[in-house]
Amino acid sequence: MSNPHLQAAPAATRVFSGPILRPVLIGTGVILAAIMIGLPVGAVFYQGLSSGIAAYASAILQPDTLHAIWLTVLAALVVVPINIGFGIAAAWAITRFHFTGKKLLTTLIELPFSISPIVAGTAYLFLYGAQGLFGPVLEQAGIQIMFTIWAIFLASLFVTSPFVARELITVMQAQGSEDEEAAVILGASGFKMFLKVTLPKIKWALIYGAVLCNARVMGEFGAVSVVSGSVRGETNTLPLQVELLFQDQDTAGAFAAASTLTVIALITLFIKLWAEGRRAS
Amino acid sequence: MSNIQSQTLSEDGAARAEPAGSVGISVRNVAKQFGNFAALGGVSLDVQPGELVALLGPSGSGKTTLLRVIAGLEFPESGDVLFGGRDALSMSARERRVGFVFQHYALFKHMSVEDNIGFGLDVRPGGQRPPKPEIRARARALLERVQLGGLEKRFPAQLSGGQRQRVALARALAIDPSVLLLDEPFGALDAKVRKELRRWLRDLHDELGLATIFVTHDQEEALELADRVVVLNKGLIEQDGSPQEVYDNPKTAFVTRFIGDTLTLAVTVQSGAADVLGTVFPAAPGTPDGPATAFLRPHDLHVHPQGSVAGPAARVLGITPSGAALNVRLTVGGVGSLDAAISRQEFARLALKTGDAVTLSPRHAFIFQE
Repeated sequence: MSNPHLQAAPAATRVFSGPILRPVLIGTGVILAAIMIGLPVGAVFYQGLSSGIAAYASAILQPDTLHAIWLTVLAALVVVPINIGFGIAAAWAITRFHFTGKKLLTTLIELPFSISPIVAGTAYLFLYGAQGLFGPVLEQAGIQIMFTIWAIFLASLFVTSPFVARELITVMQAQGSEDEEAAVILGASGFKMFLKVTLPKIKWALIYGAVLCNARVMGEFGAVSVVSGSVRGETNTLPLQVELLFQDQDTAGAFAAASTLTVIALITLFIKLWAEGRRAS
Repeated sequence: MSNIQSQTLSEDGAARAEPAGSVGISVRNVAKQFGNFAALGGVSLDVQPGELVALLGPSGSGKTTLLRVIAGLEFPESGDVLFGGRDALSMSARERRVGFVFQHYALFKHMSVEDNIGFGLDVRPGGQRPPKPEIRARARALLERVQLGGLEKRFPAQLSGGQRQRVALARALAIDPSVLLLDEPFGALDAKVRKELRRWLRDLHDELGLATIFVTHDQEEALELADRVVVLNKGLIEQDGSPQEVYDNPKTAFVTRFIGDTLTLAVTVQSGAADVLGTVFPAAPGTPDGPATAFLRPHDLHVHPQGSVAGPAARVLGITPSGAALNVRLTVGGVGSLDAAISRQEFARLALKTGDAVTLSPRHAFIFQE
């Protein structure tokens, strides 16, 4: 990817690389990143571990926090595969077919990116809550959605639905459909065409989108806090648990739980970097 | 689907398409719209087994659309496509058993050459899929056939343009196609490789005996390679004939212009003929009296020493070499500038220099009302 000519050229001869501008810009970037990102992340681990490893471990191992971790993982296990399916279907429809309302669909898919999660949560409350649109019907049928794990799944689905779709739309638009046409002419069924031709081409974009989706599901606070009811040991996800512990003045517990989320985020980041590299090559 | 299995490996291991499997293609009144744009406006075409037909036209003429309709990648609004008398439109692209080579080859980048070629066999439904070793043997035999033996483990990115094209062809042949369709088969290659591959493709076509259609916008390629040239313009066939016919006897102004270099002159038709640079030529049948356009091939414009023949006087503006001939740029009083092509012998005989005064005589002209 990199151009050897550019690398070999002396830095000062390039545009925007004067003797002052260069160190100033790099210095500003590094210092701001350290203050705004590095410091808070470091503080989470420092605070979590300030009372010692044993206290840290027991804070994480308290049943409510363990349950919150489990619920967060469960939400990811449910939501990510559904959004992968949705993402593939939506990207396929948008990049391979011409239909009226295509632009609208593309915009709609992006909506959860720009809308505040709390609005998403409230919207679900309006739909499925006791006073909501479907509330009476659901109550008659004896189905409870709000303040259960189902509400957590639904709210997370809404918030994270664009991640996979958006990645795939970009990649599939660039790739065109000639390979798929070739596969069909050679006798491949739709399923075999997808499995043997399309999937290998979009694999890294798919993984990348799924990783981003996963990170967002696990970290989602706003939408989930509205619909989950935050019942301890029942409908409390990890981000909600952090807030609860904090409100309980259990600083060590809150930071321990927060550090768990941070570790998940760091792992996600490394997978993302790796997928990004593979996607680019 | 039953004859899909008819192909076997012959003793020498080379895959052979059985001529019995090849069928003719009939296109009847096919029309195709894209929104408001009529890509094909009722096209009819017959290609016999063993025939190599060029679809020639500028971009947007509908040639690729016609090829894609035949392949089953597009479906027409009206008309019929028959393969050996069987209705092809009722079959999906998957069922048509068409060998198709895409302009940019559409090789699967994540698969080796061998896996690319074997793809069509590998994706067959369980009962019809040959065992893996047989697929591999078939792929290697086809690779030998397109003269790329030993490259089976390479990936498409590791091949040259010409090699990719041949792999694409081998992949298309692996499914034992009943017809062969090529979209701009030489479009992405440089001039030298293009010429070599043309000859090679012609030989391969003759061996296979399939009904073959290729799309091109290059008239030279169409004339050199095809048994028949079908000239398309704006979704309609302008002319369908042998290369000789199309070149020597173009039926329309469009074909005349498209099929070779032309000099154009404004003329006036009177009772079916017109004076072109002092010589009278018949106009195309049915040309009404009045203003029309005369088309001359550059080699049909003869250059003579001044006053040696009757004809318009001209002056040499410049001389540029062009392959076997030379381009002589001339300015003609009352007409403007024209480019004549003259052979090197003729050029030596005339001893032409820039600024010379000469006399012109046209040998042949096509006259159409545009």
